Amino acid sequence: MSPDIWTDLCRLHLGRDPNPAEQIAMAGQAERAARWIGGWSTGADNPLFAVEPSHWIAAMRERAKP
Amino acid sequence: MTAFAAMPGEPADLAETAAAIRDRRVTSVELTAAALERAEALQPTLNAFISIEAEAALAAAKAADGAVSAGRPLGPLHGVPLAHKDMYDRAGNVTGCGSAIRAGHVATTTSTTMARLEAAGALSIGRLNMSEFAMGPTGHNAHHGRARNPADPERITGGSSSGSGAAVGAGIVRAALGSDTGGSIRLPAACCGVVGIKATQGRVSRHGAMPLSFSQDCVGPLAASVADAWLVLRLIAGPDGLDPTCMDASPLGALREDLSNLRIGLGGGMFAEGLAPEVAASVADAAQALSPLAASVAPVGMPDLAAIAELANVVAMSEAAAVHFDWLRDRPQDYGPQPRMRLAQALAIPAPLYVRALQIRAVMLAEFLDAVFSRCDVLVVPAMPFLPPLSSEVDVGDDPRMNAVVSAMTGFTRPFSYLGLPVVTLPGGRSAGGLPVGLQIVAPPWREDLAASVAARLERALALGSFAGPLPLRPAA
Repeated sequence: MSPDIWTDLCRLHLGRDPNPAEQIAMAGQAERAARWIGGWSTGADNPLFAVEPSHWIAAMRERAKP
Repeated sequence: MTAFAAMPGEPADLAETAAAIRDRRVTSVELTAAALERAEALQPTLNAFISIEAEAALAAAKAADGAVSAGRPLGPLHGVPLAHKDMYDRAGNVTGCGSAIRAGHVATTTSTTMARLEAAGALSIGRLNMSEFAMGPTGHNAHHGRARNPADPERITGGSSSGSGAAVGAGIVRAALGSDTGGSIRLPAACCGVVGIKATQGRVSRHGAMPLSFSQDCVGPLAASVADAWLVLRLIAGPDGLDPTCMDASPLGALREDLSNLRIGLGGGMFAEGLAPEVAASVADAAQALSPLAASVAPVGMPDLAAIAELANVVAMSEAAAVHFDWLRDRPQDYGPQPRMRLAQALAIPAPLYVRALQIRAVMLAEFLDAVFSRCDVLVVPAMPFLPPLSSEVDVGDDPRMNAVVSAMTGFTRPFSYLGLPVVTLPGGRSAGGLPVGLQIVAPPWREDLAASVAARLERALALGSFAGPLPLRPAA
């Protein structure tokens, strides 16, 4: 993604342009997130194809039973 | 400054303190006045409090003594002075969240945890310092100044429950509520040499507690001993109709003395690499102390926890940005530099990545339970790879080192927030200079009892001493 995207994000969310430090930090945050999470996307073998966030809650509830 | 040893003949823990009030060996007013005196005396050094509420505390203590005299039913913490992180609503009182934005906010309801502690008879002597909006693992605060470490005021307390760590570590109160989204109970406990419990996600109600990340926020105690922390946790835990995420799990019972059928795992991978010598020595000492007590003590390999730590950050900061969305737009100048920058950069996390981080949570939990808790019953790992840093080393504000400092501080704690596992943090040793080293005892979901039982035996075996302050007692009447 180009730096313009960070500018757009800042204008959208904060109603102003980002300062240079924010641009760098925002780019870094998104890159790290994409690096870790993007590694899970493996096309047809995507292990998350049938997983929802609620499955974690269900797993915890199941283990909570006395 | 050093931690304070209990005087001979003084109550050994919170339960005995309450018993001393019941038995009229001490009054609540005497205990509360002593705690207030200590708080005032240490405030210039430690800055543990945002607000010391002497008048209200002494009035509550007087009422508590009146209840004793009248023979009314008394709760398990009747008349015992505590203090809590500045983020738990009490109707009619200010909840400032360590911020400028909420500095004058008067709550209209009472948080479930505060209500349960009040029902148990505890009273509060003030609001404790914290990182602004509970964002900050070092404990720095641009508005209130940082709380300082009782073991060495030049060093950080850890955060975000900075005042809770400092107040308990200095013996002002025996227990204080903190909160933990990525390590905010465990890091101050480790840095200040006290015990902290982050229970299983969903064990303790968050109603009336300041939200940061609804997927990972946990309310819990910091305390002078495992027994104290366990007592407070038992009082605040349990289902709550006001918090639908609070689950009806098996109740927290008494701790077990017998560990002989427990397999203790020592965390491998990143938990065993690059540790400060004192930290590595504490893990070794814990292993040695537990070996004669447990069925086995052995290293256990770890999944990729660095990735899990990053996922924890994605979830926490995405949700935090949602919580702060309007203030971030309308009052950005009222945030300190670091929280503002962390929230601003969280806006750049695309929604699909946040959802995916939540999806992966179930997969990661299953993998971790299979990889780790099939081979051990509890896991022992350090809370941090280094000793409590000097404040000057990690006071980076929003400069380019910010993310590295946050990641370094929370690398050992965040993974368990993301997985939702219960963790007891306790002092595992001290450096030659007297700085505490914190250990984490991690258990499977809802098995806080296993972690706390191991922690209690380890606490006794290591005999690092009490951090409780002196109490004004006289012989039983």
